[in-house]
Amino acid sequence: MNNHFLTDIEIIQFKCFTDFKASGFKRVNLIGGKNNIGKTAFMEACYINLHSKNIDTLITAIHSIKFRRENLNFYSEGIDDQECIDHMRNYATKSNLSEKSFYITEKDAKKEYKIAINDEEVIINKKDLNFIVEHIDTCEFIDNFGWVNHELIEKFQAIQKQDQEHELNNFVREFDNSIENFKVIGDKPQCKTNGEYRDIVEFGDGLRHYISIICALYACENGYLFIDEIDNGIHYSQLDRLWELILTLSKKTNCQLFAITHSKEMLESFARVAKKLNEQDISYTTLVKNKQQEIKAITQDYEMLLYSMAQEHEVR
Amino acid sequence: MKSIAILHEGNAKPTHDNYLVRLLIQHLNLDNNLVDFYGMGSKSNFFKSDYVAYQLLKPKITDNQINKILL
Repeated sequence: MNNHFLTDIEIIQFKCFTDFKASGFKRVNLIGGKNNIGKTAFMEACYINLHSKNIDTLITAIHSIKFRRENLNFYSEGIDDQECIDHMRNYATKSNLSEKSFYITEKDAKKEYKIAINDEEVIINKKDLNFIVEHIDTCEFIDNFGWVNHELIEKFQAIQKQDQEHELNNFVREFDNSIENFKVIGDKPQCKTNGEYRDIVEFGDGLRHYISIICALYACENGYLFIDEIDNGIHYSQLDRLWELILTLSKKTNCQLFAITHSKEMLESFARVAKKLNEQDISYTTLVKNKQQEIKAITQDYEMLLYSMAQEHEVR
Repeated sequence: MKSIAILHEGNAKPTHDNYLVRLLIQHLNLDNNLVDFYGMGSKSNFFKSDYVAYQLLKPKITDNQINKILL
């Protein structure tokens, strides 16, 4: 049932990573570490590895991570798809599931893309690359800006298809009991409060983030969900509720989740709720730098995390 | 992450013993923030290589996050 889960990965080359190895991943994985250590890059490397079923899905993944990082610049300066792909000079990963690589080579002023997916390798001339967006619907990334309307609407359809609107509304009411319902009316996600539907932008960012996570967990059935800065916009008093929801729903939908946090409260809540639910299919990974300034991963399983928390260790 | 690990007999939760050690560190004008305590439970756990505290310590030592251990 969990055969599709990523349990270990070797990042041979990607951004700040060279010959980096991490293992011990479970169904729900929290990632921590200091600023600029490479947490988001680590998740991006995993995302590309899991999203790339063929050349088009690999190129789409590379394009989408650049787009997510720079979408605000693209709104003001316009987007060049080729540039989005070309920013990635080197990418090579090997996981328990697959091996993927993408290299750009330049020889005699001729640029080529060298792409390998497991044993298959192709070389494409820059001029011949036809960028076709092919997105894997069960592999999603929620960045630290959160989802925009069209992404939320698209993923809400997964809830509709599974007739789970009632379940979603129950979660939303638990989050804020003044909200009666969530619906997509026209092309706008809306929430009903005091008998009247209002655009979701009129509510706080936390509510949108919360609803996005629920929709994504349903949409990524038997797949993968990546969440950058998971506690963005969420009040500390809601953290246990969020983890309870994630641990329960990810089990129900068999979705593997990777999330990043800087928050001590978030980590404490993660350990507390896992213990309460006796949910042992979890891990906490800290990215650190050794004396040689190489990035290393220290992964704690359920038992180790609970021990660390009981000892009040500084584990972030 | 802390660079000094103190392994002691007793409960995993902070005890009066390690509170006393913290006071001593403070009294000596040393940095308490560098120290993490590892409650080993009963004495026999010190000799079990698969005990959870050792599993936690091993990667931290390998990756230079801990460079001094006091038993």
